[in-house]
Amino acid sequence: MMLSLLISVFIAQNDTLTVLQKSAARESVVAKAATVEGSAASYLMEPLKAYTSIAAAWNGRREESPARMEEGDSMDEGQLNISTLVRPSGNSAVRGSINYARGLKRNVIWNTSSDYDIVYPYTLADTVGGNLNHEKYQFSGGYSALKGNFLWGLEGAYRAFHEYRDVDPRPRNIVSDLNVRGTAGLLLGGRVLEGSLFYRRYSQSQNVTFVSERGRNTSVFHLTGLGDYNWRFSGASDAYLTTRYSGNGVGFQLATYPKAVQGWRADASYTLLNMAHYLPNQNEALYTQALTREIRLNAGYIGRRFTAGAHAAYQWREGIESVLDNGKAGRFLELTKLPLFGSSGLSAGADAAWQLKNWSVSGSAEWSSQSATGAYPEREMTLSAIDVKLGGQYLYEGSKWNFLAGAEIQRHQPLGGTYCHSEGYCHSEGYCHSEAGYCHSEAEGRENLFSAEYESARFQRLCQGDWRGSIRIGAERAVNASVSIFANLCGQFIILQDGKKAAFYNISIGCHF
Amino acid sequence: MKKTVIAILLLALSCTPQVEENILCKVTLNLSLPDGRNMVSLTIDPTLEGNIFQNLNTGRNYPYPLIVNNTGQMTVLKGVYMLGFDGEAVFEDGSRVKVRFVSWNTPSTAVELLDDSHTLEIPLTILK
Repeated sequence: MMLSLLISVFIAQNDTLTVLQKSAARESVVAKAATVEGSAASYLMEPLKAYTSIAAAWNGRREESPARMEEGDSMDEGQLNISTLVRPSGNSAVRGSINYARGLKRNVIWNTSSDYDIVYPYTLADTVGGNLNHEKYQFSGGYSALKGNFLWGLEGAYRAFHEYRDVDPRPRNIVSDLNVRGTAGLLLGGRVLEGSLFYRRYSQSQNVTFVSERGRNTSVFHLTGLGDYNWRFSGASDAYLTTRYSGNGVGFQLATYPKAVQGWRADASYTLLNMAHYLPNQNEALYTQALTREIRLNAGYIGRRFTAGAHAAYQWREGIESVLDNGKAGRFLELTKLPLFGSSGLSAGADAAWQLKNWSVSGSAEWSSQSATGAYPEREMTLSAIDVKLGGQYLYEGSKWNFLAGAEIQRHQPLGGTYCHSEGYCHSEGYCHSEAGYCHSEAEGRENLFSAEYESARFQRLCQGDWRGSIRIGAERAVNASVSIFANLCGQFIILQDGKKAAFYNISIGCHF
Repeated sequence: MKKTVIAILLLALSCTPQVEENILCKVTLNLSLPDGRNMVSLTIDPTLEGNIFQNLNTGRNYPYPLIVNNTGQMTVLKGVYMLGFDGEAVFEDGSRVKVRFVSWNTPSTAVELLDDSHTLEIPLTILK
C-alpha cells in the first residue's frame, strides 16, 4: 500500500523519459564521471532525471587467504536499499537513501572492534576469534537549490551499526556515525565555483563478555599497531573489557565544474578526524588518540563521449598514547601524551572512459604507497603497489527491455615492502630490504610476541600480487513507461600469486521508477 | 555564519593535541648504602623474577645498567615505572655484599619518569 502510494507520487513528476531511458542514462560514462564526491549541491547540475530505486540485495565474499584477517575469510549479507532523486522544479533537487543490512562475517581473527579502518591502530583483539554477526541501518537525505546565481545544498547521513558474537569471547559493538555537510557556490559564466564544509560525529562502544562456566578462555588485547599491544589493560578482567571510541571530524572542499557537464572540472578536499579512545570502567580515562588527516585532489575532463581524469590522495595518521598514572587517587590521571604511532598513504592515478553508442570501454592505473611506523619498540611496515584495470560494457536499450553485460580485468602488482619488529621479526619483499638489527630498542623482548607474528603473516599476504576479473550482468523489464523491474549479478574473482582464490558477489533484484 | 565557518576551518587546521617531542627519558640511578661506602660495581641479575624495571603501561621490562661507583645510566620510554631488585655489590677491597631495593616495586608506589632526564636517588638495604 505504502509502496504503491510512493510510486504514484514519484511517477507523477513530469518526466519526458521512460524509466528504461533513465536507467540507461545512468550507465553512460559521462553520467558516472559527472559526480562530485563530497558536494551537497552538485547533483542538482547533473544530467540525471528524477529516479527511484528499491532493491533487495545479497552480498557475499569467500577468501582462501584473506587480505585482512580482521574482517574474516568470508561474509554473507542481505540488504534492502532504497534511493531516490526528486526534482521538484528545474532549480531544486532532493535526494535520499535508506539502507538496511544484516549479515555474518566468518573466522574473524585478531579483531573484536568494528570499523577497523577508522579506529586502527587502537583496536581490541582476542586470540580465539570466530564469527561476527552484524546489523546496519543507514539513512541519508539532502536538498539542493539554485537561486539566481547562488547554488547551495545541505545533506545529512546517519549510520547505526551493531556487531556481536554469541560465543565466548562475546564482543558487542554499537556504532553511531553522523555526517553532515553543507555546500555553497556561485554560478559564474556557465561554471560553478563551490565550497563545502563537513562535520562528523562518531562513537563506538565496545563490551566483551565471557559467560562460559569453564572460565575465560583467552585474553583480550589492546593493540597499538604493527604487532604490539598495551600490557597494562590487556587480559580478561571486566575492568578493561569495555572501551569507547569518540570521534569528531571536520573538513572542507573546494570544487569547480561546468554547469553544462562537458568541460574541465576539479576539486580538492581536506578532512580531519580526531578519534579518542576511552576506558569507561576506569573513570573514562583517555587512553589513546588517533588523528587522521586526508587531502584529496581530483581533476578531469568530460567530453560528449569520453571522460578522462587524474586523482591523488595523501592520508596520514598520528597515534598518541596517554601515560596514565598508577591510579592511587582512585582514578587514572593522564600524565602526558606520547606520539608512538604514525602511518601514511599516498596514491595517484589516472582513468579514462570512452563511449561509442551502446559500447563503453574504460581503463585506469593507480600507484599507491603505504608506510607505518611504531616508535617504541621500533617497528615499521612499508608497501607499495600498482593496479592496472581495463574494462568494457555493452548496454542494449529497448522499449521493453534493457540488457547490460560488462567485464573487467585488473592486475594488482606489489612493488615491494618491508616489515620489521625490533623484537624479532624482519621480512622484506621486492626491492626493499631490512638489515638485521637496524631496529633498536633497549627493552627486553617479551615472551609473547604472537601479535607481531600475526602482523608478519599479514604482511606476507599483502605482498602477493594477484589477477582480478569482474563480470556484471543485468536485465531490466519495463512494466510501463514509468516503472520497471530489474535483476543484476556482479561477481569478482581473484587469483593470488600462490594459487589461492577469492570471490566476491552481489545479486540484486528490485524496481525502478 | 562567517564566524562559524572560520571557527571550523581553524579547528580543522589546528586540532593537534599537545604531545611530547621526545618520547625517551634518560635516567641516572644514584645508589647509596646506609654506611655511605662506595661500590666499585653492583650487578643485578635480570633473570631473578623480583628484579624489575617495568613500565606500568606497556609492561616492558628493562635490564639494569652496569652500576659503577654508585651510579649508572639508562634510557627508557617516558612513563610510570615499578622498580625493585636484589643485587650484589663489590667494594674496593674485593669484599661483596648482597643489597636490596624494593620501595617502588608495586603499582601504587611506582615512580613517574616524564622529563627528558631524571635522577633517581636509590637508598639500598644491606641483606644480612
